[in-house]
Amino acid sequence: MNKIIRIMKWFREMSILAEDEQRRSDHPEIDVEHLFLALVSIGGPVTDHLAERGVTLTAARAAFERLHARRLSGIGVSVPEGAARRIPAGNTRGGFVYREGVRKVLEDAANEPARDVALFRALLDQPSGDAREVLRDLGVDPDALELAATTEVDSATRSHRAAEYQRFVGEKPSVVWALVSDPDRWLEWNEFEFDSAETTDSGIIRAFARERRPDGKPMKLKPGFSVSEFVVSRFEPPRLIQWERSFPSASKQGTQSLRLSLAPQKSGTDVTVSFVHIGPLRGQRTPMGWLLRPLARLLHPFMVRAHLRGKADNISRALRQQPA
Amino acid sequence: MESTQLAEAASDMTNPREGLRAVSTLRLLVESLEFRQVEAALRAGLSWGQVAELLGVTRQAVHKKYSNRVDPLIDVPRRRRS
Repeated sequence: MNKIIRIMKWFREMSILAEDEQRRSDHPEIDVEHLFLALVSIGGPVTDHLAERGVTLTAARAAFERLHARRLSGIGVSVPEGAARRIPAGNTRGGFVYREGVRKVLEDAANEPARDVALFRALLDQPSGDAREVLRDLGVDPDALELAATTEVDSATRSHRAAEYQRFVGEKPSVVWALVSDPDRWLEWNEFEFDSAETTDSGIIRAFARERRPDGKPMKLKPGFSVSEFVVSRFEPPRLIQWERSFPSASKQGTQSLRLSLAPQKSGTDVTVSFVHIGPLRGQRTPMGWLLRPLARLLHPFMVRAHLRGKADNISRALRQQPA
Repeated sequence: MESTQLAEAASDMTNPREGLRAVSTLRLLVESLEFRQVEAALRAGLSWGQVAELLGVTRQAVHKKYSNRVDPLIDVPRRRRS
């Protein structure tokens, strides 16, 4: 994977993670707090280093809540503890909204060879002092942390093929496996595409496509594609599961095989989402279809990768939700 | 806390650094409460105009601030053009 693609991937994943935290707290903009929480979740040397010292996503979220409560109590405001907050589906329409100066911090760090270390140091230096205060609250001396500034987050072995997308999630493989292999939890990591799902006695998952996307726009679906069936074709706990997707109402449409591979990492798991087989594309048999075929071939890898990226985002998001 | 005590605590100027941080946190709290109330109001069937009136701002201001953030699945009553 070349350097520019690595930077873009890191920047995008950081922004998605930070925005999820911003939206979870109903805050108006992405701030230092959200970048810090994203850094705890993204994987790499900083995530590993902090996780070893007990700074996990759950602990850091709770520490930020304590920080806010402490500051508010200083001016006589007390906030009752609310129910566990969930990350809403979808994303902010119109792009990421950063507080003034925060995007620059992220951009500057992205250009450094050890991006996450550079960002961590920049967050510690922010005038609000939030990151330092949270670390002290969690019993970690920020100045005593020895972070190697030479480690590259993405190794050469990381995936870059079009029909494959790899992403770190901050949970043990057993926790990730429990999510992706349980038919009753299938909808948790597929809700961006499907409204509801039911499991038949034979173990087939029948899923019903959304009529509206999470951003509110109507889903454009050809007739016969509103219902999909998923069957497990490979099951190798706790490292590989493969799902075959078919469309019972569009029998001429080929099947798709989606494979999820889990690889343990120091403080979490690398999840690789890949299409190992995509059935023949129909709908190109009209004259217009033939004319557009070169364009479709050109765009197809990008669309496939965007789809897999969405899947990986959803798996990560499902694992970052707090139990209700 | 009584309102007089609250005012007393909020107007303590002996430690402005802490005071400013607290005010910044308070602003965040107010923003998040406002967002939740706006979303609840739209879910309850209020229009952008009614929400704006209750907040004491213009319809354009409230729409610009929240239209991209509220749950897109909420059916907000459309403004009638006369």
